[in-house]
Amino acid sequence: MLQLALILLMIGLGLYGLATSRHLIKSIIFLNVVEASVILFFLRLFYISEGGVPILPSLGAEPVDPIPQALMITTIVIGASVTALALMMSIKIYHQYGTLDWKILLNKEDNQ
Amino acid sequence: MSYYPLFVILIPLIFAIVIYLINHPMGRILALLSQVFLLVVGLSYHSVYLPEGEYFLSLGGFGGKLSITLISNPLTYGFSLLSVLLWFAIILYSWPHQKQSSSYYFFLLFLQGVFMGIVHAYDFFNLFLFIEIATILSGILIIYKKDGPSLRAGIYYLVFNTAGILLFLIGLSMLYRMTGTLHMGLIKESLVDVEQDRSLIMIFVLMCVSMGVKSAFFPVYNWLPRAHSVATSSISALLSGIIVKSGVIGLYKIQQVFPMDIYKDFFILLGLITALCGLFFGISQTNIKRLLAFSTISHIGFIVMGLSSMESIASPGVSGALLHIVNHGFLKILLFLSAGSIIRNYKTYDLRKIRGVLHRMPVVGFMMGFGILSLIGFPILLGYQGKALVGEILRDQPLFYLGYHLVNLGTVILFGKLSQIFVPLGSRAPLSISIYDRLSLSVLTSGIVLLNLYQLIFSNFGEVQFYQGNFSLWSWIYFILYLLGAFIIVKLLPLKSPFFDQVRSFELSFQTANYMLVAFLFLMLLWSELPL
Amino acid sequence: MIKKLVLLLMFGFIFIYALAATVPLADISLETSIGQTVIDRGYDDTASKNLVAAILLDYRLFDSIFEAGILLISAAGVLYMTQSSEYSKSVPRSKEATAPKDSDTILAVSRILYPFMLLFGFYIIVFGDLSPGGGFQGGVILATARLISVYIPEKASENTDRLNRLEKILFLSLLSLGLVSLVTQGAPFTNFLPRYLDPEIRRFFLVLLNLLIGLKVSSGLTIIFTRFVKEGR
Repeated sequence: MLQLALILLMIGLGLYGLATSRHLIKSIIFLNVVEASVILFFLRLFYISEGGVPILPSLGAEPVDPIPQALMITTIVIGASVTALALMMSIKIYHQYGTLDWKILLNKEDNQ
Repeated sequence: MSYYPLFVILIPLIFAIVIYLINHPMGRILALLSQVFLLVVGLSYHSVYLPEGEYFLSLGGFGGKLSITLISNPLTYGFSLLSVLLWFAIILYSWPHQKQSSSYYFFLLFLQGVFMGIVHAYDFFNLFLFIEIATILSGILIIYKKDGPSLRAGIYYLVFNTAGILLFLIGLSMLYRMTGTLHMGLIKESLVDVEQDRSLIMIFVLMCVSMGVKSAFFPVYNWLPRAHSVATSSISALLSGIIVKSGVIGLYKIQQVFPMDIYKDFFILLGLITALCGLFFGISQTNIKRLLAFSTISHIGFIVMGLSSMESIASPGVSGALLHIVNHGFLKILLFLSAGSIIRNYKTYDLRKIRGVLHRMPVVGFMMGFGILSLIGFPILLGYQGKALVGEILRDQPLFYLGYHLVNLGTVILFGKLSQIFVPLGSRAPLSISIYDRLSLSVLTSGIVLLNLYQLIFSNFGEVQFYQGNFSLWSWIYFILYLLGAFIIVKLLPLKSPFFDQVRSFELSFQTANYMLVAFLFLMLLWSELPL
Repeated sequence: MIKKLVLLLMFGFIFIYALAATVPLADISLETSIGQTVIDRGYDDTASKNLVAAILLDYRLFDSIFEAGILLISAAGVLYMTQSSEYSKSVPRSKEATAPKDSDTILAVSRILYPFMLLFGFYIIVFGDLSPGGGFQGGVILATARLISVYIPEKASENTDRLNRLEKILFLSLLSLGLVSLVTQGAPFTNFLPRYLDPEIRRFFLVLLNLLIGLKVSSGLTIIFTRFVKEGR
């Protein structure tokens, strides 16, 4: 219960950061915070007290559900890819505009 | 041979990688070839589902519960065949512009495979994965020009959409905890007699919100006009016509698995507000691509209204929504491609500076006019079908029905504004249009005409019902009334006033967009607590 | 200020709602979930003792291949974005880039660590179906080893184009490896060796798959890293 509440708070913290931070890199960091807490949340939901690792032979302990762990590897890979792309985009944006501040960035006029 | 659904996903994928691997100008020929190949495979696709009307392909030999399942039914068949036509037209269109870039065709064809995956997915995690890949691919395609505005829009799109899709994952984890499976059919079975408590509502809301982000619903729409107006025209067309629908298709799948009756009115309201908002901002635009992008938002609103009934495919609302997904996709791609052609020849995005398209570019102008006429709902043309069916389900609720007419009226005004490019003014010297533009537009238009004839002649495709009242007197009366109303409103509306200048330049910052995401989540949760 | 206050209020509502929604979930039995089925028959079905690997490499192989595809897309995207500013490959590294090499400690430690990291990475990959690990995890370790090799002056810098080609070929072979079972077993994306064989033999498929995924992930991540290092100069 307490752990769940803390993880939910972390998700909220990440979303709060996304909704308030003005710096592009900070937005990417907060995206990663949300992602990490979602992964934690998923794993916490399937927590069994004194459960074992899902690797045979399980040595007496009841193994935890392996599905969430497999799914979360995929999520981690997705997160890494998105972060890599977003960071490379921000490098390029910095080269173009000389700033990473959302507010300045989005208000810059380009004459299309 | 029952592996057609799998092949339809894998063929564009394999071609994509081969093109990227050989990295040669020949690649674009291979890209075209892949579509021909896909068409050949697709033509016999219907043998898969014909006996029962539905076919489930489990990948891996361990039965449906454990493995990933793909669904195939008339709907997926239709989407597969139609996407071939769309991608074919887009590859033709970008033929002279993307000579050397094998990576362009790689991303484009990979996106096709992933879109097929979204259509065929019958497993929630698989759906999540495909939608996320589509997001990443669209992000890369948006920045394909590598100039400042597109990079800016690209990162806005990528980060915001990924934040939205993560909410889906929270819902997914709770759903898996609740039902112990990820297979949509099994989840549907196990939820039949489960009480709709807060847990289920929370799951539903989280999934719907993330799909809403993906397909630009009202409070979280802002990434769409940004992204779709800066990309190259062929990419804008693809994103605006088809890829934005992947969210709606996801929403449709979610609603089919667990319909929530308490959210029926919410979705009608949401669709209405989305449509009106798209029209309101669209009418104030002067950039031709931004105007088209905002019009996409308004049509997404239509589709959401149709999906709100959450019934089976055969019900008019859902049928109309699915029809409109396809019809709007075709028409919007036609409009975007012809707009791209116009922009390239006139060298401006500004509507007010483009004049006399019908005289200077007769072929493009004619096709664009045809697309506009269809989209505003000329009764026997393509765009009318979905709209009329959506209208059927709103008829009982006077307030919503009024809103529906308002949206139709707004659409006429929006495209009336776009039609000013046909006014013959200034130079009349014909402009040269590349043969590839003409070819791809003709392919698209002939596809649209065929689709239109099909929908007029037959009464249904699979379970999707078509509208039967195309020739009824009322549809014409309404259409003429819309035209008259639009004419009067345009005369009265001070479109040049400073107020519209403000509306035009109104943009949500990135923080506000995320703020709106939280607000959207909050509103949907609050709705379930309201005593209605 | 009011904006933030409203945001916090909305968060409060969502938080309480989410808590009320998630806490009852803990009472639902896990017995009927597919995870339990995997625990019960995972080894017989897939010959993998690591059940997470059993899911990744057999039950949900389709997902895993697309997961590898994401990395390919991302590497391709990073490559594409940096193409215009690509420096010619023979240009020696500029002054700033060599800065870390001045430290003898880092140089010595990198030299010592490099072979061990490679070994560790391959161990994680090859034993992925017996112990914690697998292609993705091992691939990341391999990529880290390559990253560390940036600090070794004698080693030539990575040729990203060649790596990219390697990655594409690996992805294609992953896809085809997944499809082999369509011919031998009549079902796509599963082990192509027949079920009646000894698990020790059927393991071959898992090791092969892990190896391909590991190499693919490591080349993809190396491309991304190298490009970032180049771009930062």
